[in-house]
Amino acid sequence: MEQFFAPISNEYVSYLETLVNDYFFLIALVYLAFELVRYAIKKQLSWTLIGDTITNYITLAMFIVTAALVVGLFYVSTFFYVYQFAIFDIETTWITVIICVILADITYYWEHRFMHRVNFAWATHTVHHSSPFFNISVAYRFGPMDGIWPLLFHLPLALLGFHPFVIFFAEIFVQVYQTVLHTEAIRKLPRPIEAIMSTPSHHRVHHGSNEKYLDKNYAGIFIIWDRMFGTFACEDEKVVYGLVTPIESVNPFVAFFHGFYRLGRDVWNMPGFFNKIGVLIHPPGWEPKSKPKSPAE
Amino acid sequence: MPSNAMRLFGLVATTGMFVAGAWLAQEASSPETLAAVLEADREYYESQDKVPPSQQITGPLSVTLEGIRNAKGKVLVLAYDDKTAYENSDPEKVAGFIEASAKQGAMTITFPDLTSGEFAVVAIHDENGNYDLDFNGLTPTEGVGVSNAFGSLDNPGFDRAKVKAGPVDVTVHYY
Ligand SMILES: [Zn+2]
Repeated sequence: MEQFFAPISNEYVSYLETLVNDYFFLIALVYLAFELVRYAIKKQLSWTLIGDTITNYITLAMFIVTAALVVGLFYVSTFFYVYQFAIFDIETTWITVIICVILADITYYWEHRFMHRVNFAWATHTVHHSSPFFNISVAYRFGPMDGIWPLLFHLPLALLGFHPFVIFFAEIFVQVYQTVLHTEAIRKLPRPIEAIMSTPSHHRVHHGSNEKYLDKNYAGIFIIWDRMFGTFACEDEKVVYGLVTPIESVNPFVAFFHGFYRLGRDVWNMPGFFNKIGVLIHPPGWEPKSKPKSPAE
Repeated sequence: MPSNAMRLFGLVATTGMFVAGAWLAQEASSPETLAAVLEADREYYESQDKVPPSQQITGPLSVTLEGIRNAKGKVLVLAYDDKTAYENSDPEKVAGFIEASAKQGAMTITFPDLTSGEFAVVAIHDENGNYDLDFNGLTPTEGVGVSNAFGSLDNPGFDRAKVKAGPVDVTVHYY
């Protein structure tokens, strides 16, 4: 048991984070090749699918550039700043890393739910959901501001006393687990697993634009959070992937910026200052209770 | 739309799990817990009439150095069994020290007395023979290798660096 309780260095955890992230990217590319072959055999391979796949990686590149510009070093230093005020005295061991991963998974649930239900956060997360396909390359489809929300939502972990490097590792761990879920090749897993863990089946539901699938299954690793907080849905009808209002384009710039374009348009068209604010902070598709006459109509 | 009761439940449950989790992490990682775990491990091995892993004879520690760039000067190999001594690079408190003439490529150095336990191994290719690792600013100008390190600037903590007595490979890195 000693190895679980003995201290490990935070630099080592940080090194593991990079290792997991980089190796997984390569594994995902190999898996993508497998998926494309599978689609080819099933005669579902189309130029739109190939274009969409390429667009996924282009949004990843654009995300990395914007994240580096906007967040960059600020991200790390904010965590270390908050960590000074740690409430609990937590030494880094494998046990504490495991606990941090579980808490980061709850964090991910709320962050993800927030990104779906608050319009100004949805403007960036909609990019990820705008692909009409579902394969591992979609997991790498990011929006311009996708780097901001993890920062805000994970800061409480630093305040509680988890070392920033441990938190970053936990974030990447949840993210990598999530990445694996983006596939159609795995139908359903054995029942006990489907009951506790988030699975490809659960996540297909999350990417569905079917009425009963909207705003369901936000989970990262454990589906129990969705069951607990009332956002669970089971995959029992064929999933129609993508947005309720599709972007119908494989142009990477359309994919990357359509969320902010749509948000800007909706705010612009909404009459009244408070209604404009309302559009920003309410769920997508929100309309004021006493609907004023819209000049656009 | 979720009801307000559901929102409140979400907030309370999440806060509760966060505080409980952090408290658990604090308790599980405290020195007292570690001491209790070590004691329980020791008792278990005793009750089974087994030798704890830390006292099992797995050695002798035999270090194969790889990647030595030339045969100039010496190689110095230090084996630490103490965390503080290792982290302070205190040559007075090593468990074993051996020096030998450098050979290009690979060479093996054996510590006949170190037959059990775990050690952090530090190897220096002391090309100018001054018994020190020379630096230019922050970067070493001579070869240095630490068990489980992945580069010349990587300084693993004791827990990552430690290796069991027995055959061990250490790569000598040059900046
Ligand atoms: Zn989502």
